[in-house]
Parts: sequence; structure tokens; C-alpha cells
Amino acid sequence: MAPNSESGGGQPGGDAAKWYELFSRGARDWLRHDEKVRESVRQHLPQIVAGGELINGGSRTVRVPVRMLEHYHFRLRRPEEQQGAGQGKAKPGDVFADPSKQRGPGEKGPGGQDEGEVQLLLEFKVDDIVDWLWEEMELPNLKARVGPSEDSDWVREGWDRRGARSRLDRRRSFKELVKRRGAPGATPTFTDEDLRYRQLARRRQPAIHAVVFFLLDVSGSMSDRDRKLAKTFFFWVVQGLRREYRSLETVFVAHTTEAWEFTEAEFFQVSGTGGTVASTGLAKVQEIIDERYNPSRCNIYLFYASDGDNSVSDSADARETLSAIAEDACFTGYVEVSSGLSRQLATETGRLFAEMAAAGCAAGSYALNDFDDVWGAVRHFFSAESRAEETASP
Amino acid sequence: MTDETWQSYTRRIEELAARSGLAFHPVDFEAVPDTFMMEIAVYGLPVRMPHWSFGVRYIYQLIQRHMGHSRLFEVVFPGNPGHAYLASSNGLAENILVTAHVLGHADFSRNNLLFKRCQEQLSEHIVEHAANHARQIQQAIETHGLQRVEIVLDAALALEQHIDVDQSLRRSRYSEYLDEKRTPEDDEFRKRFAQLEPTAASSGVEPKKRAPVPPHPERDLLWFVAQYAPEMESWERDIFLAVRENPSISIRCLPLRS
Repeated sequence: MAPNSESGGGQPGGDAAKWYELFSRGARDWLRHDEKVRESVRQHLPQIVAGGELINGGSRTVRVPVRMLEHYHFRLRRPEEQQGAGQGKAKPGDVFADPSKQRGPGEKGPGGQDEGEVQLLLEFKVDDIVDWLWEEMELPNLKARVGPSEDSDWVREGWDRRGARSRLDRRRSFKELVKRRGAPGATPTFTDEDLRYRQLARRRQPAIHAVVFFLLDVSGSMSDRDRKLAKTFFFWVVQGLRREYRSLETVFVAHTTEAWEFTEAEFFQVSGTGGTVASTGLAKVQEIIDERYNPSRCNIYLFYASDGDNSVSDSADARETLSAIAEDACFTGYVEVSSGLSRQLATETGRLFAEMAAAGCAAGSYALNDFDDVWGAVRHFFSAESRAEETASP
Repeated sequence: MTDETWQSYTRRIEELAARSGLAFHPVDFEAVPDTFMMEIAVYGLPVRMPHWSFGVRYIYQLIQRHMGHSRLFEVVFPGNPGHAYLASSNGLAENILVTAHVLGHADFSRNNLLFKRCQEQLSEHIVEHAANHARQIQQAIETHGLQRVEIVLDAALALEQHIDVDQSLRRSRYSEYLDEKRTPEDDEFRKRFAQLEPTAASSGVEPKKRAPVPPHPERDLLWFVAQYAPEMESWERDIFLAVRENPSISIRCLPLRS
């Protein structure tokens, strides 16, 4: 929301209207207010955006509803909060404020006199948020495996006598002038011959090749909230990694008792019913790796989100497939979403990943219980510092 | 609206008002665009310091106007001469009514005791006075930075309602000591008593007692904080005093609401 300057009420007198626009203090203070709100939203961004309505059909903004700022001020207690006190005829046990007099939720009250509240809807660009929050995070264990794709970039290279004004190299031009004049002391004057412009050239570099698998358990035991929690985590991971690595490939897989590969847009909408057989999902990932990615030329990552309730009969299969993947992968991460229950990874799948880590594979897990935690999870997996701490004190 | 027609009406309205016994200072009329009108209403004064809270009021006012809940016809500042802003979107008939209404305000503000006292203390140049405060705060922002000034203004404006209209605008500090007991006059009896016992008379000189702060319950919170807050810099105290004077200045006539 931003103030739009209005022409003075459709009045023809242009000069007079302009004179009064000089006083547009309302707009100025409005902007200052918005700035303050944005500042404070920004300070609490991890909590706010994680719970926000953000996976809305590919739109690149997050909407955060906020209230207007208000002055601190003294005010009288509301009648509901008041308690009686007195020195009169009251006896111990008398009730002064009768809570039963308060209106029940079903009843209608008298029409209000107060002015309605105005709510601001702030829009943040996803890219901005990632800029603010995604600090010094990186894929763990990234190895210099070079794939078929290449980055190309413009680099400065050499000088020329012609070029864009903005790339004029003053120091170089001045040297040319001195060279031409030779004798010191004479007043130097530039000619077009002296000017030197920096040139740009396109250079290709082999890109580091990485693929990230996002595997999501969408079985019936995952509640809507669990699913949303996992998707929120994935969403921010995808945003952050894309920003960091230009040639990053992503693969989205969801599983119940079967497994399917999805496009990104579909993946964030997917839901399912049925039992949980983790090995099917892992097998699907393995299949895709075999089909499309050569582990020796590609960094492979797997992030798996589930509530951890794998069916018991599947545990042997799951272990086998997971260790096969872990051999090729640079890192496998497990996010346990269990809203309300903080089981701290004491589940079937949780134990599986703990075993893997104990066996020396690059694996990690994180218990994600609440939306406030999403950025904690992101930091856990991708910030170099938190991983260093972890290895220091396992 | 043609100015000439309206001015001729104004002259006639003034005659009418004088004939029906109203006594008022002359009023300058100025037609201003709606946006400027809204700002005067929001800020209470034609010039005032910048603060985000005015931005909030401005948004409310803007929304109210867009929803057609409120329309401002005029804002009057009392003084000699008084100054009335009329919305330039007013029609001729509306302006005639509003002019008559403004003269009513002018009569009231000239004869009302509170206004009278306020104007005596500030001279009659209210707007210029307010402009000085705004400049003073603008200077504080330039020297100390917006952040620090804003913190002080946040605190001061939170207490804005807590002024004491019965107190003078320029108050002096409480007297530091309690009133001394009046020394009794040297009457015949005391002279003789002193002769009787020389030591008893001299004991009348007692050490002065410090008065408690505040000596009585204080309503004028902004003034009290500015005078007695232990850890404030002088420019911060000045801002408190400036904020304190502003609402007293802007006991303005509430805008008409349709």
C-alpha cells in the first residue's frame, strides 16, 4: 500500500494545486509508518512468513496481514476486565462483576459505535525474503563434480578506443594522454585518441552440477498441517538453493504405498491417502538417479519429510534402499513433521536415519513441530556454522 | 464557484452576524484542495512536526473519505484575524452555509474564556507559533537523527492527552521549599516575652524544609516530565514542552461531518 498523490480534487488551477502539494505531509508520514511496520515485520520474518499463505499458485509474493501501529496510551479498563471493590455493605462471598452477564458467542450485541479497524496487507517479494534470511547457507558436502551444463558470465577484458561512456577508464585514458604529450609541464588536453574504454567478454565456465531430491510422505497419517509444514520447509529450501546455485536441478517425489514424480507446481498441491511405505519412495528416487544422473558427475542430495510412521514390515527394505542412495549421495536429510507431538525422532524412520549417521554416512535429521521452526530446520541443514557445531558436539 | 458572488455573500453574512449580536475577530478565508484540507484536519495545525502516527490518522481519514463517510467542509483556527480553510470542492450554497458557521466559531473563540486565556498567553499568532515548534523539531532531527527524535516523540505523544488546561502554558517550577511559617509580628506581648527569656525567641528560626516532588497530584504530565525527569537531555525536554503546547494551541473547532 502506498500513497498515491491526488490532484487537488479535480480543481483546474494547476499552480495553486502544486503549491499545496508541497505540504504533502500526510503521505510522508504514511510512508514512515509503513517503513516502521515493514521493519518490525522484517525482524520477525522467520515466524511470520513460515506460517503465511505463501504457496499460492506460483505468485512470487507473500502476503502478511498486519495491524496499524498505535501509540501507547493510558486507557480505562474494559468492563469485562473490571473487578469490583468496595467498603460498603458487601459481605465476603458477594460477587461484584457477574461473568454470566457477558454475552455468549451466539447472542447478538447492540450495533457498535466504534470505527472499524483498518488492516494493512503487506506484500513481500519471495526473492527479498530469501535475500534477508538466506545468509551464508550452502549445500553440505558439495564436491567439484562437473556436469554437462556451463555457466557463462561477462568478465572485463582489455581496452578499446570505443565503448560505452560508463566504461571509460579514466586512469588508463590519462596514461595515454601523458604518453602522447611526453613532456611534463605543458597543459594536457584530451583528444578522442586518448580515451580508453574497458571491454567485456563472455567467458564460459563449467558449472558445478547438483540435483536435489525432495521426497514427501503424503500418506493418510500425515495431517493437513503436517503436509503444509513439510511443504513450507521444502518451499524455502527450493527458493534458497535456487538463489545460491544457478544450475541446480530439482526432483519432486511423493509417496504413500506407491511413489510418483511430480512437477514443482503439482508437488506443492499434492495430497493423498493410504499407508506409508517409505521404501517405495526411496526406490523411486533410486530409479530416477539410475536413469538420469551419474553420481560421479553430479552432486546428489535427498531431503525426506515424513511423520516417521513407516510400516514395520518395510523397515528392512527401506534401510537397504536408503543405504544404496546414501552411497551415491552427498547428503541425505530427514525432516520429521509431527505437529503437537514432539517425539524427537524416536520413530521408525527417525531411527533409520540415526543409524545411517552413526554408520558414517552424511545424514542428518531435524524434528519440525511448528511453523516457527521452519527456518531453524533450514539453518540446521544448510548453514555451515550449525553443521560445524553439530559435528563438534554430537 | 465565482469568488465575487461568494464574497458579496460573505459581506452580507458578516453584517447579519453583527446585527444579531455576534462579536468576532475578522476571519481570513482560504479555499484549499481536499488533500490539503485532510492534512490540516489530521495534523490539527497547518504546520506540524513529522511523525508516523499522523500517517496512521491520515490513512483512516483517507479511507473514511473514499467510503463517503466523512467530508470536510472547513477548518477554523481562532485568532485575530482568525483563519478558515474551506474545501475547494464546496459548492456556492455549501460555502455560504459554511461561512455563516465559521462566523459562529469566530464569535465563540473570541468570547470563550479558555480560548481567550490561551490566546493571551500565546499572542494571537497561533499558526506562526506552531510553525516555530515544527522548525525546532525539524532541527532536532537534523542534529540528533530521526531515530532518536522519533523515540522521544513516541513517548511525548503517548502522553499528549495528559495536559492541564487550567494551568498556564508557561509554568514555573514548584517552589523548592515548603512555605515558611510567617514570623509572628513583634507585638507587645512578644517583646516582653523575649525580655523575659532571651533564648526562647531565637528558636523561631527553623531549617527550611524541602517540598516533596510533586507537592500535589499533577495532571500536567508532559510539563512534569520535561521539568523533573532525572535523565533527559535538554533538547528532549524541549520536545516534550513543544508537544505540550501544541494541543493547547490546536483546541480547534472540530471539522463538520456530513
